[in-house]
Amino acid sequence: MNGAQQASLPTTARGASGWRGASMRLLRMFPGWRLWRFYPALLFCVLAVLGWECMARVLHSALVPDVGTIAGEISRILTSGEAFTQIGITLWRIVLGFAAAFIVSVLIGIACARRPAVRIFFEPAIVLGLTVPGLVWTLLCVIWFGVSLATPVVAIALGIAPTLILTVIQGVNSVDPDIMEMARAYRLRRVDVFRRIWWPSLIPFLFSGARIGFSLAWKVIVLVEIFGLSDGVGYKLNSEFSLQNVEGVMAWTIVFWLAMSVLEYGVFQNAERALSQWRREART
Amino acid sequence: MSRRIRFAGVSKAYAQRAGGNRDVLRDFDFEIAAGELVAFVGPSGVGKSTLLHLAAQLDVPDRGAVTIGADGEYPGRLGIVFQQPRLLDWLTVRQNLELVLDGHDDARIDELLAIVEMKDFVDAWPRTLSGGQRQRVALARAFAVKPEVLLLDEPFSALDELTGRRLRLLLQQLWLKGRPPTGILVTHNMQEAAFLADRIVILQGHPARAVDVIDVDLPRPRSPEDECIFHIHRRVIACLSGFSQTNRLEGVS
Ligand SMILES: Nc1ncnc2c1ncn2[C@@H]1O[C@H](COP(=O)(O)OP(=O)(O)OP(=O)(O)O)[C@@H](O)[C@H]1O
Ligand SMILES: [Mg+2]
Repeated sequence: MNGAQQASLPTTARGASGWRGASMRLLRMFPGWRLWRFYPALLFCVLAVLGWECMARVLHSALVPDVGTIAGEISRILTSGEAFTQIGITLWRIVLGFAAAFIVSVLIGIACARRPAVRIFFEPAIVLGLTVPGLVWTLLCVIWFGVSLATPVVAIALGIAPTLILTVIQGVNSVDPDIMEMARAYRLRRVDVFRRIWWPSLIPFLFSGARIGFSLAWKVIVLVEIFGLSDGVGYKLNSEFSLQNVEGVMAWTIVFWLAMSVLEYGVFQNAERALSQWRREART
Repeated sequence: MSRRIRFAGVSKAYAQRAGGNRDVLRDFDFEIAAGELVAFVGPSGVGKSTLLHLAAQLDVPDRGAVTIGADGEYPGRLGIVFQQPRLLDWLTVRQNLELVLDGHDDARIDELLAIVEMKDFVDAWPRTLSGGQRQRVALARAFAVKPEVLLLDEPFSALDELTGRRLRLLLQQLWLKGRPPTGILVTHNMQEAAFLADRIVILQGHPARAVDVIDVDLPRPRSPEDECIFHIHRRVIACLSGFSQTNRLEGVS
């Protein structure tokens, strides 16, 4: 890396002058100040907890357990290790279903973007997929595949593929035609065109597709686990529900939300940052 | 080995939205000798870029043929520079050059970047470079392939005068290094045409015709200060404005 690039690294981290600079210096005295970007998110969490606690105290109802009760329930499922097993089971199903949908969607999406006839061929299927609720796929898959791994995988794949296909089509269409013309003039090999031009152009779209896909997948997998399976977070949610255990339902939801946050901040954002280094160093 | 470029009876028409076709070229014949650099000048929309696209085989003629080298021969290695650099923003300067090369040739990349004075930026992202720096990389990329055919579509017109002047000198330097390719330069800058080209072709009309061809018989390396270049520059301008005058007169009558 040369000097000019290093000089263009974020000026905020370097400390600007005035009020902003002073607050940055103050911030840096705390351990873990590097997490400062996340403070607004933390603020939201604190406010949400406070708000809930107020509501619980005002309503004073068994249907709205207070923060302490929910926290106790969370720590119970965490310390017993149950949370980790069940989340592991559910996440594994999501990952498999997502992987299947991802591969199919990239292939179909690229074909659709390249050939109008292919797109018109798949259009009814995509519209159908976008319209049909996840519940319908769930019921059909439970009927067809019963209690097997195929049920969640196929249901998730069907549930998220249409959305993923649309993002891939959008991504392929975003490839700069001028760059493609350059590639044709230099007679670049097909693999290079795919690896060096298409893939990098697709990456931001694939990430946003993956985020949407994961959240959709979660909504499908819960239903599958409620209706067709005997383990996983969805199954747990359902059994807490049948016991009328409100804090149990909330604890499982929160724990899964935490797992997804770890995935978002720990995996998605880091991977995206690593893959788009050029964007950050560039001047805008 | 550089190769001749031959336009033989080339016709090209584009469908117009208003209906009907617009003939850009009709039975256009022209031949560029191996190792020769020919500049195409003429008014906007006359069909210069169209000719270049046909030579790059980015487009096919409706009739006739554009052949590079002997008939039926493989068209050869081609370098091209557009008005915009068209670099891949997500690859470093070095990777951008590697992309068009078959395999790694670090020595060649370093040598070319040294000539275009971009050696310090091998690992930079294109977005961190200035417009002129990016265009220099694009120039190095065109020469990285050891081109037998070099096509330049207004390569310096997006740059300021001084940068353009510097890049023209660099282009001449690259041109003289090794066996010169066969080249087509499209430009609106008559002085650039006079400085770089062996022949200047003046295109006019719809469909486009070569109304005049001016030979530039100056040895290389040339200096942009050379009196002869100003002389040729004036001739090209006179030729072009003469034509636009007759066109205007015809339009009035
Ligand atoms: N893809 C296209 N579709 C329709 N018409 C086109 C297309 N490309 C070029 N033309 C037409 O062909 C004619 C010649 O265009 P061309 O780009 O070759 O002009 P040019 O001489 O390069 O002009 P300039 O100096 O402005 O770049 C123009 O009238 C243009 O409208
Ligand atoms: Mg043009």
